[in-house]
Amino acid sequence: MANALPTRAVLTANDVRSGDIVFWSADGSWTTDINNALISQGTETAETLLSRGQAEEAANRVVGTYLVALRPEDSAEPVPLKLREIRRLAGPSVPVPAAGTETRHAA
Amino acid sequence: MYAYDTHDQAFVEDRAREFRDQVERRLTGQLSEEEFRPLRLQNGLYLQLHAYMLRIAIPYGELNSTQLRKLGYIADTYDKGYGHFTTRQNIQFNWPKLVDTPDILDHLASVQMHAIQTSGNCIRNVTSDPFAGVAADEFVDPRPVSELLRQWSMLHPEFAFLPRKFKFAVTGAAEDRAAMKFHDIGIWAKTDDSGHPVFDLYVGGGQGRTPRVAKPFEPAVALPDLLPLLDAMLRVYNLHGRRDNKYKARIKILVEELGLENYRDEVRAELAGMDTAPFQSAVDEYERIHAQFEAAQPVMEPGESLDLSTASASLQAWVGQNVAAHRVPGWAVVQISVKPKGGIPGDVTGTQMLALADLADAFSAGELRITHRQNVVFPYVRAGDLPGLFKGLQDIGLAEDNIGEASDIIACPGLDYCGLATARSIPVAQELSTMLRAREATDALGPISLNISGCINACGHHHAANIGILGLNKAEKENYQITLGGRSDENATVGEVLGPGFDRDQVPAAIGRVLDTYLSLRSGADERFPDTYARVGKAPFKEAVYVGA
Repeated sequence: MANALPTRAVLTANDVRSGDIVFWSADGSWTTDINNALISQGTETAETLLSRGQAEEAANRVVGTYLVALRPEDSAEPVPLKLREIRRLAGPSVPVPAAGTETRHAA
Repeated sequence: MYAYDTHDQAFVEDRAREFRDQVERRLTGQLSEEEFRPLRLQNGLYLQLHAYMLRIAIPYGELNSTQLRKLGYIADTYDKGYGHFTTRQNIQFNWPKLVDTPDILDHLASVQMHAIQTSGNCIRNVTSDPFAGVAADEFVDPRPVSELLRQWSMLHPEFAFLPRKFKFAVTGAAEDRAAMKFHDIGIWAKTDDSGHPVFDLYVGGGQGRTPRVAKPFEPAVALPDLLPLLDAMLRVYNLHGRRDNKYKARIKILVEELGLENYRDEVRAELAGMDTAPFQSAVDEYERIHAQFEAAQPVMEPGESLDLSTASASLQAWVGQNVAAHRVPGWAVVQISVKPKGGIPGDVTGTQMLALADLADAFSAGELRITHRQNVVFPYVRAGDLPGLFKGLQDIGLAEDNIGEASDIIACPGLDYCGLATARSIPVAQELSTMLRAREATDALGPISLNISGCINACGHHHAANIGILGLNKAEKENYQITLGGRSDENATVGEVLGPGFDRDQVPAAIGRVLDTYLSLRSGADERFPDTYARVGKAPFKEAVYVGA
């Protein structure tokens, strides 16, 4: 059985060329900042977002679209509900060095 | 080490060209993601939690300095300045762009490397003893047969779409440093009475959600019979292995469901009907490969051991902990820990790779190995060069003297990088490393393996550790289960679950109580952790961890 659509969610994917995590924004383009993402309110807009994701995949701009369920509170700030999505949004626990500039294990 | 012939070189160059064309067709929309996905996976390119990830094969863990320099260049040019050594002796880059991967594969091909068969349901990179060719306890150098397996399995037309991935490990020494019995097929090379290599075969080992120690399949297989027998073993698996359920698709499940004897009978029947003529050249090829490895070894005249009586305490400690016996007196096998206090297991920056390559040129005939414990080995170090090498490693933050200790932690990328993970491994490893380095300075814990996996797939080998930690997702909160008593050596054992899991901040204290219990119960300083555990059982550890908390 398919999972029920989340009532409050954002559409996410990875950029085909770069692999960057992206979110569908209110201005009809992809953004790397979840704070600029279009937040669905109710299953109807969630379905619209999913359809948009399929169209964007078909256009080869992104890969792996899906909806990220958000905490239901009224806060304008989008906070994912699931641990996996919280970690995906936060990035690695350890700061990632800039190329060639530091020693990974320096104390 | 083995050097590509013109056929090998042309093959990897052609393959890189082919992938460039596939990427171009993907980017122009001629290939959908559904069509492209199997093609990128066959070239080691995954889509992970945050980004693409490229896994590059390091056959049996052996690298030369030119190759490591190239990996450092790739880290700094195409990635974010670091790479991650894996438990299959490979290296992963966590942030490559799809548009850059054709150039990366061209760079790899230019130094006889590739990313083929580091993903998918095929025969994966063959792993082996990182001390191969130099170990004091070695019967047979496992590299020639490992290379033979690499050639046999590379794009093997029958085995490109197996029921599930398939992993070989080869060792040829008294001590198993390759976790051979935790592989689909493990090969233990020895010699017969005439000094010829023979191979004990084990089948059905593995980790994941159904951990199993491999069972003895056939002892003392002669070289001419090896590839036909392996081919037959794979054919029977390919025919009968389950494709309806990926969790029951590994050969360990087939061997269990059929029964070892029935599986063996099926293999013998298959072998009896096979045309083995195509394998007749394998012995000559083995000899050619063997001769190449022999010729590539540096001349090692026996010499004197290093007098450490006036050396610094730090050098003495490092030599005592990280240097293993070499087969030639006066030479050393140096294990370089990629597990500094509070560090990230297996992560090395591009800068460190370039420096390690220079050190390998200066002190190890330009050759090094990656271990399944995510460390580096220099196999050809003159004893007299140890102080110079130690100084060079101190300069790049890789001189930790903790090889084989509990702080020499294996950790998978976990939920910091992996799309399959259920919890993070790296921060747990870092916190434990800091705690354990302090204890190791005072408590003389002795050799202990501590491995962490971020999900049930067990890439962090937690089942095979004296102390294993498995990260799970419990109601959207990270939770860590402890296993005890596992070991990956020739006496391989699957660890037992101690009890309910812990929140992340409780893990260091729980591990501390496990160590306290071991110290109080061991019969002496020379009784190792798994031996104490086997003698006293789970109960005292469970009581200390849960009741004594």
